[in-house]
Amino acid sequence: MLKEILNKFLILHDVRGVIVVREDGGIVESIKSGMEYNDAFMAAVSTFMVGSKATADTFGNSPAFMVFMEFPDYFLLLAPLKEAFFLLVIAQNTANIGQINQAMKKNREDLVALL
Amino acid sequence: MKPLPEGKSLGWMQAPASWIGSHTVRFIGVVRVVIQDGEGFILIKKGKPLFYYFKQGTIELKGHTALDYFNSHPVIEFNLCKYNPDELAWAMKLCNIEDPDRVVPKGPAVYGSVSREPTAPSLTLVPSVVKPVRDAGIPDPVVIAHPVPTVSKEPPVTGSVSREPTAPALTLVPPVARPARDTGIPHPVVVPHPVPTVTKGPVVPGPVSREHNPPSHPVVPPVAKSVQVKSVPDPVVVPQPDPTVEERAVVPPTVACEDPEVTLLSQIRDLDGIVALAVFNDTRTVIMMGDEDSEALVKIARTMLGTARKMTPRLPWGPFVHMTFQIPSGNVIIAPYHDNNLCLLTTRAINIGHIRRILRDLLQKSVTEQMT
Repeated sequence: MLKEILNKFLILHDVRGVIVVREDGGIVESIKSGMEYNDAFMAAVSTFMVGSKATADTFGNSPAFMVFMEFPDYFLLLAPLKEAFFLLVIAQNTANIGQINQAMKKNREDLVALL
Repeated sequence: MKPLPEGKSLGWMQAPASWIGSHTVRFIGVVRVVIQDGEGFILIKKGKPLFYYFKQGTIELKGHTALDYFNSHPVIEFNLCKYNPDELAWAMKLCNIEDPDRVVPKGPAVYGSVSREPTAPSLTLVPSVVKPVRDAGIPDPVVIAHPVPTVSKEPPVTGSVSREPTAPALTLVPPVARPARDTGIPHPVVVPHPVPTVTKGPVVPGPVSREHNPPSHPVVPPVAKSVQVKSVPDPVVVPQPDPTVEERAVVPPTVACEDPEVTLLSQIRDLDGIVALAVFNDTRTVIMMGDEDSEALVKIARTMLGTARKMTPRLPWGPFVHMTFQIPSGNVIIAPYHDNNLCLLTTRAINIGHIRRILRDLLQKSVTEQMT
């Protein structure tokens, strides 16, 4: 069921992967298209989560946060779902961020309900 | 002198005083300087310093003396405040100077009733620099007996003259002793002709916002790495055709080139929604624009940068371009910037797409510069 919702993101133009991830970097569910989730990538995701949490802690009270990280051809978009759960979207830079954000708004409740 | 117009703050910076002159070719406004417990300013019109002023306690320095004092510090902290034409005109009026670009005809002697109030010697009005307690680099006061200017030495004037008299420089500019440990500071220049100093009435420095808390870490020169104090040329007084107007401006040589970096950063800082801007590296904050707590902002930025640095080698996507951390109250954005990193603090209302474009342009420019 979770994968079905994640697939709603994956069908968006140039979205290459969608992951539900815990704030400690643990993967809850993931789907991908045209890319590999190898060990190096998973280590990077873990680093991303731990580092983002550390950054949020510097603001105090660990506020809900969203992170956008860009590379020359790809970007990562991390959005909060529920407490320690986040949605990570991996997409090419040609993807439409507005569409991804809209999909997040539309599907967030369904995702949270399944966590 | 009344407080100068506030102007529009472009942000606080730390740099050698010489950096200011060479990076403000298009800048019109006031550079508010804070050194220790003292405050001062440099009034600038397109790279041309019009007036230097510094005050610490009851001590006031003007003209070359203030400039020498600024130059005696390897780095000073200052706030660039942009003026519109009206504000500049008002500031110049407050400083009792006239526009150096204005063409003043060399008129004949003015006729009418003469109203010449002889200016008192500066010794009584402009004391020498008092050495701040914490600063060993500031010279001890030097007291020199100044001759009182006499009207008889002036060219004969008949008729009414409403011009304010100026005393010879020797009487108005107490020399500042050169700090022994600083070899790069130019010797004070004895100006052989009258130098403008405003000595009439109470002299009050322009308002310097003290809301900004200077970072506690040692100050370091910012982008102007290549600019060293020792490269600061001795101030030069350009011969002026009309002493009644032109000699009022202390005119060190201006640098013809414009620093696009400052222009660019100022443009970014001026965008709607940008609260603060910082250029930083692993050890220090190079430039800070905005009134936010620079240390806190850069601390957050360094945490983000650490994350990016750890991730980048694990991903086959090339160099890190930018990272935005969004919390309910705003965004913190970091991106590589030349050999340093750029950090932006923005409101939530900002157009992230616009920021992305700017950052991409910066990165491309940086890569191009590296290749060339």
